[in-house]
Amino acid sequence: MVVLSPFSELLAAAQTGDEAAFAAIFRATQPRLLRYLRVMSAEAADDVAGETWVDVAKGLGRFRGDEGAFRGWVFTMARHRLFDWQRAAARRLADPVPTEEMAQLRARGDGDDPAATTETSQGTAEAIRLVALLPPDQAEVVLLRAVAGLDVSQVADITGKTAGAVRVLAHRGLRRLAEILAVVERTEV
Amino acid sequence: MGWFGASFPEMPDTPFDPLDVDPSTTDRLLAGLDPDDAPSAYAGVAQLLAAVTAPADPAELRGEAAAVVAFTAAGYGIEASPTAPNPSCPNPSCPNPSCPNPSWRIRMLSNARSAKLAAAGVVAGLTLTSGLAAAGALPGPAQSAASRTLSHIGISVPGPDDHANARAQEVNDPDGTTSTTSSTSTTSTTSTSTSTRLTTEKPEVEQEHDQNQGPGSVNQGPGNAVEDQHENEHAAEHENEGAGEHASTTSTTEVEHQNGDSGGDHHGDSGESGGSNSSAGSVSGKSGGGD
Repeated sequence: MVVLSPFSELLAAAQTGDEAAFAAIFRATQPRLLRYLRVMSAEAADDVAGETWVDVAKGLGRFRGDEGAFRGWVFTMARHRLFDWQRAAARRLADPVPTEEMAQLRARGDGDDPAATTETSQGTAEAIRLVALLPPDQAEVVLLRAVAGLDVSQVADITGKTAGAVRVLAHRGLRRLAEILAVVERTEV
Repeated sequence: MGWFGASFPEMPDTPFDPLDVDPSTTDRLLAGLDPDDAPSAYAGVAQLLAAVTAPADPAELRGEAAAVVAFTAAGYGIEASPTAPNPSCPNPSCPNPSCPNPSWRIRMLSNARSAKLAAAGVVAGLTLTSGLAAAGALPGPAQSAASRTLSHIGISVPGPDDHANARAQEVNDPDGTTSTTSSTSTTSTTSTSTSTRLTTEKPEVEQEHDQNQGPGSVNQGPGNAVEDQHENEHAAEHENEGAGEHASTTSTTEVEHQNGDSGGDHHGDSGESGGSNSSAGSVSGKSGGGD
C-alpha cells in the first residue's frame, strides 16, 4: 500500500528532483484538473492538461506555498492555457475549412459529447456532463470550489471576479444543478 | 381595517422554495457535504459533486509518464542553486540548453551574471571617461580623442590644449607664482612662445571641430580668430611688462576688454569653442559666456 506523504514533503522532494514525488503530486492533481478542463472545453482537455504539466515541471522549483496555493497555481496556469487554446481554435475557425475535411471530421464523430466517450467511471462522466450544462461562469466557479478545492478568495483571484460574485455564481450553479437533476429524474421516471 | 383606519394589503402566499438554501449550506455542499446530510432537494447535487471529486480513474493518469519526462527535461524545475543535485548529464560543459544538469544551468546563469557585470562596467567606464573629458581632466591625446568623439554626438568638451597650455604655463612660470593664482591670471602670464605654438595648433583642431559640429558652429571661427588676435596682442603686452607679477584683477580687466572687442554675438560661441584653443581664448570665452 502506498502511503501518501504530506504534500509539503512531496513538494520539497519534487523540488529537489525526486521524480517519484513529482509523480505522486501528478496523481493527486491530474484527475481534478482533467475534470475541470473537460467541463470547460472537452475537446481541449487533454492537450491543455499536458501543456499545464509542462508549465508545472518548468516552474516547480520556483513555487512557494502550501497545497491549496499549489492547486490554485496549477489551475491558474491551466486556465491561461485553455484561453490560449480557445483563441487558437477561434483563429482556426476563422480560416476556411475544406469541405472534404469537414465531412471527414463528421464521419469520425468529432464534435460529439466527449464526456460520453471518456474512459472515466460512468458516474464521474455523467456528473461532468451534467455540470457542463451549467452556464460557463457558474460551472467554472462550482468546479474550482468543489473539484479544485479552492476557497472563495482564490477563485475570485483566478477568475477576476469579486468574492461576492463568486458566492452568487456558486449558489446559482448549485441551484441550477438541482433543477437539472430534478428534470432528469422526472424524465427517467 | 388596520391600525388607525389604515388598510394593508394582504401578504401574498409565498410558496416554500425547497431550493432556497443559505450560504453556509452552499459552502458545505461545495466542500463535499455527505448526501445524507444535505437538504433533500440538494441530495442529488451532493451525490453529483461527490462523483465529480471521485478518486482517479486509471485512464485519467495515463499522462503520468509524459509529465515525469517533462519534469526531467525541464531540469526538474530546479532553480540554480549550489545545493542542487547533478542527476544525469556527465558532460560538465553540456551545450544543450535543455540539459537537466543543474551545474550546467548554474554556469548559464553565472555567465548571464558576468555579462551583466561587464555591461555595467562598460557603462560606468564610459560615464567616467565622459565626465573627465567634460572636465578637461584627461591626458592630452585622450582628451583630443574624447573631444572629437563626443563632438560627433553634439557634446562639446575642452580639447587637449588646455592641458598643454597649463603645463606650458607651469614650465614658463619662473617664479611659480601662478600655481596659487586663478586661471585668469595664468592666462595673462602666458609666454609668447606658448601662444605661438598653440595658435599654430589651433586651426587643425578648430577645423575638425567646425566640420564635425556642422552649420551651427560655422560662425565660431571668426570669433576665435578675433580672440586669438587679442590674445597675441595681450601676450605681447604681458611679455613687455614682465611675467609673473600680475594680480588677478588686472588680468580680469584685460579679459573683459577682450570680450568687448570680440563682440557680444560671439561671446557664447567662443565660450563653447574656445576651450580647444589657448587658455586665453578659453578664459575670454568663459568670461563672455558668464557675463
